[in-house]
Amino acid sequence: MKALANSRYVGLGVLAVFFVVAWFVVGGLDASAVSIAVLALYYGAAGTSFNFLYGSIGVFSLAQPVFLAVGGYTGVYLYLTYGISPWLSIPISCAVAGLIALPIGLASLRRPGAVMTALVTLIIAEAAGPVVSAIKPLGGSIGLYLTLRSSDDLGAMQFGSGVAFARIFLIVNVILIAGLMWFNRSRAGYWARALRDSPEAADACGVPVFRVKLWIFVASAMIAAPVGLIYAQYNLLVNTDLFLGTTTLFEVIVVALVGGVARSWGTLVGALAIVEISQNVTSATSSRPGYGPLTFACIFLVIALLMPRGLSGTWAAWWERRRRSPDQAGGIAAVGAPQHAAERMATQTPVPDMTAHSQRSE
Amino acid sequence: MFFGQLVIAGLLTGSVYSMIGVGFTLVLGVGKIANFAHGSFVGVGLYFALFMWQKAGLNPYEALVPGLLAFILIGWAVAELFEWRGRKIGEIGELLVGLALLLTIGGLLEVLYTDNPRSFEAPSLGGVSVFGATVPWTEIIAAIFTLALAAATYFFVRLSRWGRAMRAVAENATAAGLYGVRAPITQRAAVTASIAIAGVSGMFIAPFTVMTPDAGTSYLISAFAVVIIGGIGRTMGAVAAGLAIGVVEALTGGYLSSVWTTLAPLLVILGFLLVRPEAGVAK
Amino acid sequence: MKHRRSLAGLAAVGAIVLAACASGGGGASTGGNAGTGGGAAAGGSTSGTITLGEVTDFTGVASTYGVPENQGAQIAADEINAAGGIKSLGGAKLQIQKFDTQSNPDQGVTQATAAVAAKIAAVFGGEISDTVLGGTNVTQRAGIPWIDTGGVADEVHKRGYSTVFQGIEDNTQEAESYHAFIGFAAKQLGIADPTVAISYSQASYGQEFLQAWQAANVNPTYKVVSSFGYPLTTTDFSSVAARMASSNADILFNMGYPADGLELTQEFSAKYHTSAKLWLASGANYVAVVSQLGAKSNGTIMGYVPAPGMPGLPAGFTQAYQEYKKKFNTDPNSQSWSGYTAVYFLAAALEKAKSTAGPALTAALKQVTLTHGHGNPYPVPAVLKFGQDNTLVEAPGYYTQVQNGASVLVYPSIADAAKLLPYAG
Repeated sequence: MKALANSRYVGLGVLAVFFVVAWFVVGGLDASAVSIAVLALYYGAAGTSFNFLYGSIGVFSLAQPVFLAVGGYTGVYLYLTYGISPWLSIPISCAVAGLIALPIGLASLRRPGAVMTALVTLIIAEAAGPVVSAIKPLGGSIGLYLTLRSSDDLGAMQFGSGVAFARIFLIVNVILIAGLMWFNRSRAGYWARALRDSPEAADACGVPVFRVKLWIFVASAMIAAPVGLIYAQYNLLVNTDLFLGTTTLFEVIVVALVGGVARSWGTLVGALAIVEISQNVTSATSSRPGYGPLTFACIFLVIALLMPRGLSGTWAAWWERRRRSPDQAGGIAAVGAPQHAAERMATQTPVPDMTAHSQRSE
Repeated sequence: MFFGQLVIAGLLTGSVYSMIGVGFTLVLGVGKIANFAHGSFVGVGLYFALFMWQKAGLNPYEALVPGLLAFILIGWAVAELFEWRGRKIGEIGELLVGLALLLTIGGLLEVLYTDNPRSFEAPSLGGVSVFGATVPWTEIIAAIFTLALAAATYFFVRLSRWGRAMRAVAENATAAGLYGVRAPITQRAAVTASIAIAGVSGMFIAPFTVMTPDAGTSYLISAFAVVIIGGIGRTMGAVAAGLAIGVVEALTGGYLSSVWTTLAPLLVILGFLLVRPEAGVAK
Repeated sequence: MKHRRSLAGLAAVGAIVLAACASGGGGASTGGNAGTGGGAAAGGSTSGTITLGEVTDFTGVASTYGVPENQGAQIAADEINAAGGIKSLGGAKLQIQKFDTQSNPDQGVTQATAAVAAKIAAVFGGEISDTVLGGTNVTQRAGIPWIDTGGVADEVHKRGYSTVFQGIEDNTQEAESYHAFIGFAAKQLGIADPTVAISYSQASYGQEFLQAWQAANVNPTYKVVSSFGYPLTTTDFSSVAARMASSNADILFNMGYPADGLELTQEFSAKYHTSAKLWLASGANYVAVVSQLGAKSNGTIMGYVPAPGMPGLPAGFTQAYQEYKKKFNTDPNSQSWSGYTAVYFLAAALEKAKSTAGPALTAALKQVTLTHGHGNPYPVPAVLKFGQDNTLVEAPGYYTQVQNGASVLVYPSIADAAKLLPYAG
């Protein structure tokens, strides 16, 4: 038990160190590197909300961009119509996203199999664009625009330099990762994992399967809303293209998958890697159309083939192998069990084959 | 007249959706892989037909046999890829591979053909007048192909030994293995077949489709919709679902105001799911 | 202990990756050895180069606009450099640096920031309005002018950013132009009380254009008998075409993207026969339509650009055209000329301002004009100039009709323009 408590604090400690280092690093970057950092941190946070859902209960939900959009629209609309500061709109946007997530969750989670859930959430994400465009007060497909302030305005969440936004996103990421770490060790986290590995067994043990799924779904929506809100402020505009275009959808999935679900920091690292690679590739190949996407795709293919568990999955597997080899003699790898229970479950039990639902769904 | 025109247009568009859906439901239901790149292979088929027309002067029907062979080879290679990286590691692996293929194929097509929309008409077969509109023969042929494909798949799976093996594997791979069915080969065959179907479908629809490199994404979404309604692994369900979606789209596009044109098909799908919550169960 | 060590390793990795962002970002911004603002004024560097940033889509769906735009801009830069560069700044040569927004609205802010960081003197470009709207926030803050060459949303200039210039006609101007054309056409073809059926793309472009057109039609000259939108993602236009054809309107009008016009033309010629006398595929690319459909597209009316053989071509046009064809092996389109004029505007502003500082350039842009032989490739209008609201005082607008499988100019009625024929689809 002391070992368990030890590792929990170590994890948070490392996160804190990273936070402080990163805070100062972004302060020293030049403007264009900062804008890349903002993009990376945005997708990191957005992807983490997706990953929370996927990593904990194995629900592959493509509806996350909808909740990002909810956050963006809530913040901008309330500011333009009532002059409410975006900071205050953050909790409001969480609430709105949660409310909208309830019916969506009810519709998508009662599906036989993870594949159907994924498909349904995709259809909902596709429908969200036209629905939002049809709501006139939200600006139709043209969207809503914020006017530029001449100088930094903290109350209106407008800053001259991207550094401030990079730091805000950094804070968001750190909060999310810490929250995920805490969740994984909490009772709800254990329920979630039990549920993911075997819903029947979990159900037999008294875990309220559907309710846990629904609440986690709603929670992930509430996490996503502020991320979208901040991003809209950064762009000084919100419209369906920004959040509900196919690009955003794919980007969120890509960073989450590349990062892997084995660790709570996976998505952030995945986002940093992907955004960095794609920006460099683009600027290197901008002279010829199509080469940029192709090069990026090839790099992505290589990553997919070499690290199919994602970055954090590969790390976890390597770490696991490394940790186990010296202990092989006494076969007392179990000594590490309490403090590494979470990690080991994530690495040894691959996330159940989405398509292996045949046993339990029919 | 107008109504009739819409229904015919809807059925023809719907048969394209069905065509793509049959392949997708096969890879999902029997191959047990969510192949994100399925739509991209339809795109490859489109551009392959363009290539054969421009370089070899062959229209898609003439180029069908070489095309089929090419796609079977490609399909086998991709199936091996999925097998190597996807199945053993877990679903993240196969999703990653599928996504990577989607991006790679899209990028390749963009490099080779740029983003300018392309079209060509070969062969020029003219059309038949129905309800005052002229329906091109090429579209009718594509629709016939869809029905033939679906019928062939259905009877193959229902009646042949291979088909029964596939169904057994789809239901319970381990149990099937105990009975001597080699699950890995069967699943690989299903993936290969689905890609071959996708590629050939692309060739059939090329004479009347304006193609762009990002066709893969839009076809993927159509495939998803078809499988949701039709059910995973159900061939005839895919056909019915595709036709239904096509007709609904055409009718709403023809009569309703702008907002509903996108929403209506999606609401129909959602409504369908709410009414029949067990939809999507593999056969 | 091992645990702690490796997790500390994670922190280091994270920080290193972020630092890599710095070097990577730095990499993206090198190459722009521009004359920096202010200092270059008096005397200036002898053999300097001035870098202009082109922030537009070089990849993705909008690259069909972005790439030709860059090509046209390049030709302009070549011409200016060959004539001695920016004389008031010591003969400094122009150089264009590309920033690819990848047809992705996310990239508007990012690429604009990169451009500003690369110390470019001015920005031009932008095919998608959202990208321009996002990116202009960055340039407005930095005081650097941006000439929008492709985003047509009225919002771009209506936001009141002083540094943003609308280099092509915006939605309102385009709508008024089409309105005038339809009036001309109805008279030519002898249509009394014309009726119109409109289909529009439900993206922001289509909706805004429709609004602008309705505003132009405020004393209803035409009766709109059918008006409906279709989703941006539509690839199958059968129902759109059927609906338009069945409306029995005199005039069919589509407000969409190039692929839309191309497909609808195909549908009307092959499948759905219409009694309409006029078929307007605004947004369609006449080069693609003619090359892919040939005589089947006879009668279709589309937006046009100056082309060899057009009456009233200004001096210097033919040379620019031939240079373009030689260098890029293809015909210039509307975006090519858009990029061309943008570079000429910026060169003229640099000459006048004798400086590369943002505020000076912005002020100069309001005063310079492009005339025939000096950067204006259009027969009409004779002079290109920005007005008080930063839009072009008079924007070029040409219309072509496909006759016998070739594009001919039908409007404006410059001498030798072809006679308008009714549509026979």
